[in-house]
Amino acid sequence: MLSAIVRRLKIRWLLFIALGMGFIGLYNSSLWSKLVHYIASTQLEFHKLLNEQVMQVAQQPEVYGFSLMAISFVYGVFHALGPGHGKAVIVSYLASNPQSRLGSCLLAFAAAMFQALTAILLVTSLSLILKYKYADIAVSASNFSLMGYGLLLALGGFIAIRSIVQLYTSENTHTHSGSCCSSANVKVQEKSLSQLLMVAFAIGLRPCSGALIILVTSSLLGIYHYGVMGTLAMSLGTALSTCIIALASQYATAFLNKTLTLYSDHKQQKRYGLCIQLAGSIFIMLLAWALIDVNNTLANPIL
Amino acid sequence: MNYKKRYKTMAAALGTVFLLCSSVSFSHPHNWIDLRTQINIDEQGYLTGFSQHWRFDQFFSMISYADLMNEYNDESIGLASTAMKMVANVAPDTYLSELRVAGEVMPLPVPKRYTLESVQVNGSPILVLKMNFVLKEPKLVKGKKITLQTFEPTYFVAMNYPSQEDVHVESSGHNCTAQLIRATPSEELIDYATSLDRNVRETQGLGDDFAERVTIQC
Repeated sequence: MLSAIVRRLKIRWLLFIALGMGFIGLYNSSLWSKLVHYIASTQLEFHKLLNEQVMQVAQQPEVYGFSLMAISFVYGVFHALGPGHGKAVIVSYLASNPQSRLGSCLLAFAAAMFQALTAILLVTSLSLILKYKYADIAVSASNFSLMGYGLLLALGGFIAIRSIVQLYTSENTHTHSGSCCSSANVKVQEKSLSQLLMVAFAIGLRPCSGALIILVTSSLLGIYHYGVMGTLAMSLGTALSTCIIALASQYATAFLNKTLTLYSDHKQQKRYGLCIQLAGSIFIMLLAWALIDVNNTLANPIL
Repeated sequence: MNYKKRYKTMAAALGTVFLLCSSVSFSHPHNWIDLRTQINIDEQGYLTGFSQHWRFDQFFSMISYADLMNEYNDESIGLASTAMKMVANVAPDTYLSELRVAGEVMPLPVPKRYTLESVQVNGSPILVLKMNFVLKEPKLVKGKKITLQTFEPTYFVAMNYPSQEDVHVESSGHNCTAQLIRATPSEELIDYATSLDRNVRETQGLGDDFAERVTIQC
């Protein structure tokens, strides 16, 4: 029985491996790295700009208050266009678990909002209430991030196991009857909203570095409420551009589905979807694992 | 076989989207230090040591200052204790400096004097760590090339000389000239540092590639 499944899946796996190799090849191309470098260096400039902006707000809130919001929003948009783990997860999740346009945008917005809330919660509770050292906020932020990565790993594992089980059962039903198990599909749809929010929550556990900068600086200067407003403006910007990325991903996935309808066999098509879901969840797990591996080493060695 | 062609398009579309999003980043560096160095050569032509100022970036300075004020409630005690911590932290990495005379590495002792100072810039404190290194065995440097590189090995912190004027030789009448040589990391290395997450094992040695080199010829 098992060998039959393996035989049936063989060609598809080859396709997935080829796709994966393609991603890696493009990922390493120099054109891409130039773009990433440009975005990263611009982001550094933005960090300095944000810090200076908050300091100006402290001196003349009525003059610079609004421009802080505006710069934060622009930073949010720009930050989201740059590289980041959140988008990697969102895209691989959407590519492997097809959602509607609304669902895709919901995921993007929820992730950005969770991210803002984590930053605000972190700075408010630790430095303003519990009087932690500011330098320790980075440590707590990385602990939160670690929880997020752990959650992603678990979610990836859950989706992977579920798709394996479904693959197995669909193979079984195939040998017994030709009808498609539409009831299983409905179940998946019901689960997807809570699963979607879980993914957003896991991503949001890693606070945005720009948000931490304006929150910490504004709290040091006694204008914390401006920092909070700036953070919210920033997350709106992030949500907007992440949403565009999510829609692009959703479009690509829809295109994939359309292409697969060329298959006469409805069941074969469903198995393809499950294989993609499995590949996506494995990708998310690998990503989460890589992030966990890297997370603990982020510290300033001087102080 | 039409679907094969479609697969290619689909793979390209998916690939692009993946790429736009899947690089993971906490780009290095995270903190910046502006360096200022004075190399000391005595009347006999011996290299006796050097003094260095580390001027920390605004964000790092603000946070560290607030923390030390909260912890010690006294500026001078707080600055002194923080200076001690900093020096102790960089001691295993030989104070992030590598001093060579004609290729030979000079062992660096604990700085003879070190202080952490706070300067007000635009209404916020900027921290400056000042260290003075005195070599245990001064080295005759006539005709020899001295090089000094100061860098943080993991490149979490970028250390740079803002200008040539920040490198100075006090040569007590000897005709010594200092030159600042900017780092020329390859594009790949810049990408490596700024675009990707790396663990310590991989970033160790990265700072070296971005380190500026001070050379002195007497």
